[in-house]
Amino acid sequence: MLKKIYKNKQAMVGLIMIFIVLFIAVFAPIIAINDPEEINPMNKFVKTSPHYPLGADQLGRCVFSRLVYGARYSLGISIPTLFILALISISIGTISAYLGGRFDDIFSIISDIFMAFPPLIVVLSLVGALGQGIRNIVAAVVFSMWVWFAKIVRSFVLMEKNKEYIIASKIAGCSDYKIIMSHIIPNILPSLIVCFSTGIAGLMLMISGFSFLGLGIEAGAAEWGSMLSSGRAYLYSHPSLIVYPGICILFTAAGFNLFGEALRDIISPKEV
Amino acid sequence: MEKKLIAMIFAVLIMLSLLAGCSRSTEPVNNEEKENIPNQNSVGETEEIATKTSEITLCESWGFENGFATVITPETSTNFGLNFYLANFYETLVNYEDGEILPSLAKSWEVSEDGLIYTFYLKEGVKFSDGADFNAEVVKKNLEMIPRLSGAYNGSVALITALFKEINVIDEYTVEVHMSSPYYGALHDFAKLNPMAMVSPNAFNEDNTLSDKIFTNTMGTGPYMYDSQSDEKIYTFISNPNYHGGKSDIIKFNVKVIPDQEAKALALRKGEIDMIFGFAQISYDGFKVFSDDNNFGTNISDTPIRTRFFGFNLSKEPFNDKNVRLAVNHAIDKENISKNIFYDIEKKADTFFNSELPYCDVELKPYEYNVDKAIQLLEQSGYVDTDGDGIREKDGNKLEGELLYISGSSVTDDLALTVKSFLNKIGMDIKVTGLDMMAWYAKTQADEFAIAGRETYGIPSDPFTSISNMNTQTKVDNILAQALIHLEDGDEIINKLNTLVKENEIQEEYDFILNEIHSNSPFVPISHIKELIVYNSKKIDAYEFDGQPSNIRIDFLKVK
Repeated sequence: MLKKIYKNKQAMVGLIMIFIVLFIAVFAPIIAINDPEEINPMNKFVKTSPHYPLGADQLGRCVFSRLVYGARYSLGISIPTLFILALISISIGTISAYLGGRFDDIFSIISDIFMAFPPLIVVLSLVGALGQGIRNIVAAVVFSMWVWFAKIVRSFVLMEKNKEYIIASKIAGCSDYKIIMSHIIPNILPSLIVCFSTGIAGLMLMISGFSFLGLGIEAGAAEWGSMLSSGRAYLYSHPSLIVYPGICILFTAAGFNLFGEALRDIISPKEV
Repeated sequence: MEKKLIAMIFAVLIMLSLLAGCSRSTEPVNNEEKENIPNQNSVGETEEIATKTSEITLCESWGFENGFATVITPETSTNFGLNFYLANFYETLVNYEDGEILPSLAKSWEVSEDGLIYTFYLKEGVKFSDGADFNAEVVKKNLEMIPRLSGAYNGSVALITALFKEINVIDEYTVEVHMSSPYYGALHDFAKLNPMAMVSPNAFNEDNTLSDKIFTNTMGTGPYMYDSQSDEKIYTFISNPNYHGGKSDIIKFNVKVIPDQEAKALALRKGEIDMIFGFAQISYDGFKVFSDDNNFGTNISDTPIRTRFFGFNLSKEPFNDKNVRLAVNHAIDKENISKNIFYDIEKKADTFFNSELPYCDVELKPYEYNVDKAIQLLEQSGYVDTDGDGIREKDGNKLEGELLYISGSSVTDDLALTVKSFLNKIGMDIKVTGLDMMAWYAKTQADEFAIAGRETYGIPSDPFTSISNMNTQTKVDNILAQALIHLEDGDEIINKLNTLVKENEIQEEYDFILNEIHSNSPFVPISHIKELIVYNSKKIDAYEFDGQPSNIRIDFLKVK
């Protein structure tokens, strides 16, 4: 598998892009030159200089440092969100599909109800009710998105559970718990990894989109979506304020998408 | 793989073209160059406008779905947008300009010595847009209806509506207003379009309720009247054929609903609209970009219209401590804010009311920007950073609070963040939260705030109604109600002021109240706001602001 990834150019490009963003996020305090949230209106729109590599924004904050710290927000929110989503969707989706019958029917009804509401509406209402904050935006995204991933997990499990080796292990007297943990999940895991790795780009864009709309992230935070939003007011006088965070979002999302899709090509080439 | 690469290349190309397209404006084009391209302007016009402009389009964040009733309160409207347009459709008995009361529908008036009887001599031959005659009976009907229509807010938009005792018709064009008590700001209240504009008698039902006609008709004596609404949320208004004043250049105007500030600026640039009016409708950076562009004209009112300020909640820690409030006053560099956030359009405010307002020219010593003094005041009150996290504490309680402000404008967002940063420097942890207007109002009324950012009501309500609503019993403005809350007899002082008649006594009372507000510091005045307009200079030649500059006066536009 690793060899295949190594040989696949698209996967390597994606992986390198992801590693660059990860590196920036981890070493942000070292890479950033200034405090990303330090406001000094006197330095408003200062031009590019060694002290301000990409200039300063309308409040005199260092744009470069804000972009560097923005990587932390994007990855720091989307990756934990994805882990929570994976945990919930794998648990519920697997149990529902494996047990089947009424349990599966109830799950289907619940998931249909959840899927009837667009994620934006759910997030809007939840952030409105719970208030601003990273925890709340994670909770809102998980609440609105878990069902989409759970449905995918369910369909994988449904395909897997009727295979002969599962029937054989049932006849051999394996417990349901052991069948799920030792047979089904390890077998569907590669497909799930592909599904979640392509999902992370979507989540990242979603979270940036919400902060663009002023949802979730505290005002003034160095998050790419909210930087893009506040830069709109300076579209004509200082277009770089929307171009830089836009490029960062594009770069990171493209990295995850390229890697995820290459992974899919490697694992299930017939689908392409 | 190839497809993905092509898609990526396209994405990069789109971004580069965006960058290139936008960067044009960052490079200044000198006037000579501009003159060499006569028929190419940013609004996309390729031909000279041959005939004189008679129709213009402007934009607004709200629609007129609440109708055109002139009594606008939180009960009757979810937005107050109509307020700014009323002057186009309605008139009041008197007008306000530069601190003076001028004739309008009343050509003259008399006030009895005890201040209890106002006699208005009305203009003759005035008709409403629906054809009804304007006379003393109509004034009586209006003045009787306004308190009813004000509901729970009777007296809070204009105190006078709560003081009407009796309205007598003396003859066809003379009306006498008897009041239950004198009120020194009565004539200023009569000049407020909301709620005192005169409406056609056909706007009222026989059972003394408001007719549904007012939802689709402007029934006033002003220069324009409502015509229609298109599906695209464009409201059209046309000249009022019965208007008694002079003819204006514009015979038809459209109001297009565009909620977003940046979208408004783009619409003006594209030629979809011809002007943007109002300081809240455009970012100051956007205004500056338009000011530097020959294709657009701009104007700023000479008169400051209102004060931008932050109000503290005096009943909650830590801002119940006077030293903490004074420290905030010293910690904010208003000059810096005025220059860099407000582009010098808003000048720094040292006092709560602009000194040009009636009775407000009171000598008060400004709180200078002095971080050391701010820190000293906090330490005097026992706030010290014991755990080294940069935030001060007292008795285990952190020096922190939530700053609520009305979001939707880049200026208010930037101001809130800048104030947070100034306060952080003195060891105060402020969380800023932007809310829409109604959510903000609900929270401040429920006392769920530490600091609230807002503006004063503006002229002609400042200082009269603003002071009147500082009375805690009115319960309509919890932020203003903090003004004299520290005085046991605060409400009595305001009640006494409202009934004074002699100018010197009123001034004495003002001296006391303004000194109290300044020294106790329930508010941090930041800047004095001015009104502004940006217009397409290919169509519009000039605009002169109204005596109440926030009023959008289409008839004041001079076209090319």
